[in-house]
Amino acid sequence: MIPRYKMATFLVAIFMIFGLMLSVATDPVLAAGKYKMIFIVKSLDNPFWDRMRAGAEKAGKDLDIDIKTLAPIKPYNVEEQLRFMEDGITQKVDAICVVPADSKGIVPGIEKANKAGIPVVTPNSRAYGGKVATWTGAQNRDVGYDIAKYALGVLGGKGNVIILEGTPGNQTAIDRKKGFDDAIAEYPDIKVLASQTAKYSRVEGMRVMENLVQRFPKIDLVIACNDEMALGAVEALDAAGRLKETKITGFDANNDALKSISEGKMLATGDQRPDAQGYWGVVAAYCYLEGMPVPKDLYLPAPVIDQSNVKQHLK
Amino acid sequence: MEFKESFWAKTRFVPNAAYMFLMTLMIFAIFSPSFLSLMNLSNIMLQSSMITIVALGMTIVMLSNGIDLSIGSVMSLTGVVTGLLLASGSGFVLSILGGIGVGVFCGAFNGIMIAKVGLAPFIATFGMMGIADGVSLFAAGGETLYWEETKFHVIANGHFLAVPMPVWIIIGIFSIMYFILYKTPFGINIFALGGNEEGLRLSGVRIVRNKIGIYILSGIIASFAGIMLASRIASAHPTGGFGYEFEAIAAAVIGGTTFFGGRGGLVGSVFGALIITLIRNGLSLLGYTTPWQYCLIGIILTVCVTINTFYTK
Amino acid sequence: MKFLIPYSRILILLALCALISFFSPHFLQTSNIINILRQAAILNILGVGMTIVIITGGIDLSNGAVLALSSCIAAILLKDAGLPMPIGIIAALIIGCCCGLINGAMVAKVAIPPFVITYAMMFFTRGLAFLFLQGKIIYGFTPEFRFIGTGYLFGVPMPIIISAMVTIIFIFIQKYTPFGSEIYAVGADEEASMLSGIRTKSVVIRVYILSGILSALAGIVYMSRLNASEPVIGEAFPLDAIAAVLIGGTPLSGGEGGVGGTVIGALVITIIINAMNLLGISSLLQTFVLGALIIIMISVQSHSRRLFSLPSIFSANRNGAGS
Repeated sequence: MIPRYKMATFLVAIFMIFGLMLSVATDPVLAAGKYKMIFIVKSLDNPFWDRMRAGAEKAGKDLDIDIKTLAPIKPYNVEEQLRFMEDGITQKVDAICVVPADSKGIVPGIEKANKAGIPVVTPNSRAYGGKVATWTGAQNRDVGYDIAKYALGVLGGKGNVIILEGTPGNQTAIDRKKGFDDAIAEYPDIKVLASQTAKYSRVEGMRVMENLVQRFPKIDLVIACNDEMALGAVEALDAAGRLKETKITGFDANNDALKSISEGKMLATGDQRPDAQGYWGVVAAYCYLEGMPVPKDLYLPAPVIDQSNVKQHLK
Repeated sequence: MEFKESFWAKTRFVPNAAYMFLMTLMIFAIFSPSFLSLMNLSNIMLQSSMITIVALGMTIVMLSNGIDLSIGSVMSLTGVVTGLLLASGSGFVLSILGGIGVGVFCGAFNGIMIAKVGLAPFIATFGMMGIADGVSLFAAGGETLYWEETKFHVIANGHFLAVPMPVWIIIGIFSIMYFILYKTPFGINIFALGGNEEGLRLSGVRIVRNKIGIYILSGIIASFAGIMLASRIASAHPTGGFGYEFEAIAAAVIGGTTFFGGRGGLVGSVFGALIITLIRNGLSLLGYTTPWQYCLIGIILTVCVTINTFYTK
Repeated sequence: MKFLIPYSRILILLALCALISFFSPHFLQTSNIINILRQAAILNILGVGMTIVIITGGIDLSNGAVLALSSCIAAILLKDAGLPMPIGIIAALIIGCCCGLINGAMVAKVAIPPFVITYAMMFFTRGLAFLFLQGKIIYGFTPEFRFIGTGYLFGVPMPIIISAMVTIIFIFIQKYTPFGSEIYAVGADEEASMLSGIRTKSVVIRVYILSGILSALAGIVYMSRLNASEPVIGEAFPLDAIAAVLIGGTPLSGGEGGVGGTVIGALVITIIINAMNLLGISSLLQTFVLGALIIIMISVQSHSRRLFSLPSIFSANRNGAGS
């Protein structure tokens, strides 16, 4: 057993280190800025949310708002988002922007914010309940439909298609797939070879594609629910030497995907413009706080990006 | 001659976790003005409800020298089953019973695999984790479930005598577990299984029966947590419970229970769960972004366990 | 003699393959088999590290996160700083070594349960990975670097070669070096080992360091194969690696088993996942199938032990105790 005095010194040292670490943090209550807001995204594991954060932070700079962006440790975990909202209410922030990981699951949090008189804005994904000031974004289902329709058109309306689904149970995955399915339903000559999940991840996309390539000698089109999976599929097809004969579409317009499109490896992606969604979400919250009228829905056009217009989108 | 224990000697029964809890509380209170507000404390109690419940269940399993990796998935599955029942209009009581039934069933399955088939608890519960997850996803059709019924909402969000419901529920579960663990033969067997299984077998106790019972208990507790979760987010997500098994283990270990069974207790685990929640909440209030929270949780966990280790030598 | 333990497991593996090929003709194609071997390579490298840790009675939950951190640092050095390939690789290995050192030191010197310290290390390193990469993904490495993950040597994909080399080296260590025997001894009975003169603390530390280095190596192969580095990779690896080790016959209680078995365990898991893709099993059921199959296989194994009646010192505690 360690002698008391050694343990005491050890504990004091821990206290001091701890205290030092904590003092480095900025308590939002003391921070500058005309308004304080928190911006909660769905996860840390996708550059999509990073772009949205960047958009939100830019709005914060433009409008002199102090914005804290948060994301759940467990990706797409609505319970953690609820916690962030509760903590935000405790800190008496001026507004809360949250991208609901689950459209109904977030409602208890919104109701709490409503009770505290804090306006809520939901960029990108809707919330099915509670009083929400504004929603900004594009409908996942519609953009999915547009991309699929475009790709199927390029194929000439017939061919073999593989769908790479997003994380099971994820709202955006469900919506996008519905968009794909609706588009495919319009083309009777299209055959869906397989519809498998690659959990929105690049490496899973690669792995699943590697396996599917074994089974299907002829694949004309791969429609992926997001860019990450599409990029993984690109790697797999490239390694198998079948990139030329297969077209691939993604969703999200992240930088790597845009590069890939300009190199001709990927066919197209849809740009939801997460940065705009984030930016306008914050602006809407600001307007609300300033007493200006705010539209309930802010539709942001989401273009399909292919090689013809990719140059304008590349950063 | 009378033997009187001095007051200070009695304090050795207080788990280290309690002190660490107080320390953490004080540190955050000093550095964050809004930490001690009534609203935040109330939040903390709500936020810690699920991890406290699963920590209690995990403690019991760990005391018997076992482990239950399936509780996260059982939580999700319970949520899904309860959600399905609620959505089909089966009513408040029946749905909850259905949910608990899930816990019983999964726990029994775990127990049988471990006690009768002889699988290591890690593997058996790991397999169950996958199975429950799969069934949960399948039953929910890969989507989140919602329901119209509103009484269910009360479990996580209601108040009784101005105290949040989850606190009452935890007090209830804790009392029952305490009773089972310290006042029944079953409880003694749990400790014995952890300390000296061979000896217990030789003394004639039916090991198989007891082990199955332990895992059924763990399953039931997991299903309580699942019901709590479903009520808190007013929906049932097919993989909502993901990751809780590890948090439960961390809470139990901070509380002083080790993998070698036989030591530590329920009280410690409650404090352990509270410490983990405090850290998350406090760091969030102080404005640390998620990556920093990751790092700090790792460091703080290490510090807490180091202190524990030094004090139990 | 220890090497013969996988005997029953090889039969299970072959039976599994036969079953799957019955349902899917594509399974036994050469390209698919190479596919499987390549996908299993990373899991195998991690599994080897996990095996030696588990043999000493410990566990390493941080291998996925160390994989992520080391690959993130390597990516930053290679891409952003433009440093030559060997420096990036060595940097990654050093990171793996340091993390392993911390893990091992805490387990050996401070006597913290391995589960907890590696769990904490997992959080810590993952947080660092996020902080270093600032949420972006680094993409696009040099062809020389990509050779590690996608190149071929004598017609065999590089990941398979690296994984095979690692396996052979460690089987050698395990069977023919004093260090190998020490690992088993420490796992079987630490007290006795210490009394008989083995420097148990040093053995434990070295084992975790090796696990860390192997995680970093796996990270490099992973990154090279994916041609990208992101902080979220490797979340599933600790549990998958542990499953591979356990299927391979090394019990969590330590003291027995071996790297040879882990190879089979890794193959089994990869094959099951591959088969599910080939057979088009619904995404919703995939975890179910994996979980159920793992349970079935290990049950068969523990019963087949009795069939093959190996000497009792090689059989795990059959009372069901021992987590």
